[in-house]
Amino acid sequence: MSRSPENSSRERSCRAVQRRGSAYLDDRLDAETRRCVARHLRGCVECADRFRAMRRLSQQVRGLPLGEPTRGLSDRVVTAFEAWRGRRVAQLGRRRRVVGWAAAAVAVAVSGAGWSIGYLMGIETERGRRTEFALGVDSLVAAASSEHEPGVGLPAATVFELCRQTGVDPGRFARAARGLLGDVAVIESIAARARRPLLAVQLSYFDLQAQAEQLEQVFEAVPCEAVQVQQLHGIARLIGDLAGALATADTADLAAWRQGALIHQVVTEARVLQRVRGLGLRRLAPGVDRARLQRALAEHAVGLDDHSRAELITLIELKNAVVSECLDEPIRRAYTEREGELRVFRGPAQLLFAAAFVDAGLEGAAEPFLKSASAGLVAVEQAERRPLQSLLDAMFVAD
Amino acid sequence: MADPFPSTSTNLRLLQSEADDPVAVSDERLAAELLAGDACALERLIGRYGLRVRAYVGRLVQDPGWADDITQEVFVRVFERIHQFGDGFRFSVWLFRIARNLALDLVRREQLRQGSCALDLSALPATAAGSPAAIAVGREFAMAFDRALARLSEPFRSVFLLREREQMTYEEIADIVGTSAKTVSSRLHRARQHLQEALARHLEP
Repeated sequence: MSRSPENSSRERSCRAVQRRGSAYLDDRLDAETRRCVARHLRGCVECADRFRAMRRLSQQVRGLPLGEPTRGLSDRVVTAFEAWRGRRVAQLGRRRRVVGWAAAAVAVAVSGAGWSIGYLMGIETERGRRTEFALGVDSLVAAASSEHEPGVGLPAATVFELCRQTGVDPGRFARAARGLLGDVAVIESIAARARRPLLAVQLSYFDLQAQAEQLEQVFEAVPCEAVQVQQLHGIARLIGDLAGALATADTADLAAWRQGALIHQVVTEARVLQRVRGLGLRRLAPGVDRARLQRALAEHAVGLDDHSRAELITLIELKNAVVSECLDEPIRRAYTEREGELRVFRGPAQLLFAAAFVDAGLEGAAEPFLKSASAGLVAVEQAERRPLQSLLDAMFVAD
Repeated sequence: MADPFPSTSTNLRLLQSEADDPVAVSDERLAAELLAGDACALERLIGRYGLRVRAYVGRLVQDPGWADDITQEVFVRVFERIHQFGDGFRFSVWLFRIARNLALDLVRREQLRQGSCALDLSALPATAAGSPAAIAVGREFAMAFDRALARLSEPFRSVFLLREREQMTYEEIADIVGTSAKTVSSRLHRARQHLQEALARHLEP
């Protein structure tokens, strides 16, 4: 028996719709085809039933349970991770010593300043010994701070020479070394002359190392809550690890590592803020002299430092996302309304560290943090035309 | 004209990701934290994806014991290679690509017998609420589903699971299984047809 033309056409239409059922379910059809399929489904019971079954299959499969967690999976993986990280850091440490001395040898060959680089790296790559240098800290700082923030913005050659002459303890030394990063032209020139791009990587190490050192000082100096001690210690250790990785990374990996380090810095800083949000500044540092801190901030208002724009944009995007929830409303408003300003959110975290130092009676150590914090605040003050005092008032939690 | 079959699917991915991890931090940010050496980020990623990865690889290798081992290996691979995870991909896509590759490597290496014994979901406690009868029906469907799925070859199985369980786009699935979105569409259609026929009894209204 032959089929009627209507039936034949109908079957073709059904087959076409059934071929498209899956794409229709996933909304992968263009608007016109989707309308055609929908029209067919309204008029064809058989195809509509098939489609309902397909959709039911989808729903039931999506509703299947995942099962019970594998016992100890997370612990085993994290243990493996920490062991792996430990091996890697140790491996990097060995490579760092080798690379450090190799770079030193190259540096010796380039110039008088290069000689000092070699010296500098020799000290730093042997940092594990924590060799104590008794002399020179004050003279280095005095020389550096007459016109600049300590260690920042000094010509690299000056830093090298000061270090060579005076010898400093590793923590202070590393902090001073941050200045090297501020003088990009000198670094590039030395790296080019030495034909060792790795030198630039090696120098980046000090920037992160300096942060680790600072945090370690906070950790040691401030009798704050155990959880915060743990947090700070973790930050210091992780930044130290990253610094080690940075020091020996291939130049091709530099950008990725650098990015990772910055992200890490932002996130950990945000976490500190998050942690203290509920406590309030007064409780973080009991007994801190609020008026004195405010005066110090106002006095130390300095110009803003000179990180690269791209890095800071990354930093700020992340910070805006993570930190904004941790701030009191007036501060958040003042900062977030200035998204284009590159130093937003710098103030609060730096201020917390400064407060911790001041509270511990280490005003000298607090100074760089105060400057950094006030720089961020002054930027907001200028942008918002709002008195610094009102920003400070908003930042401190009233008892 | 109104769509006769408006979508009613829930965002399973979102629910599963955030059920035990309510703080809205993206996978990609956790990956960045892991890159920076943060073990907490690794723990959170395992919390989000551990069960999902195990369910997926379990259905690929069809052996619950191997599923646990592979899942562990997947996360070890994640931290070892996190520096290779780059922009332009969702973390979950990268993760499931690792999971699939490891599962297929194991199948090839161990020459596991395909189609023998699927991950026995019936042995697992039901987590869905409902009457005892409804739970029993659910388990029955789960067993039938695994049997029917086991008869599909791996490419079809992966495509179906990644779409229905992980709600990935065709393009993301194509990236994981190494084919085109068009091929994904075709495989998905055939997988659904096969499963629909095999599970017809369970799909009646």
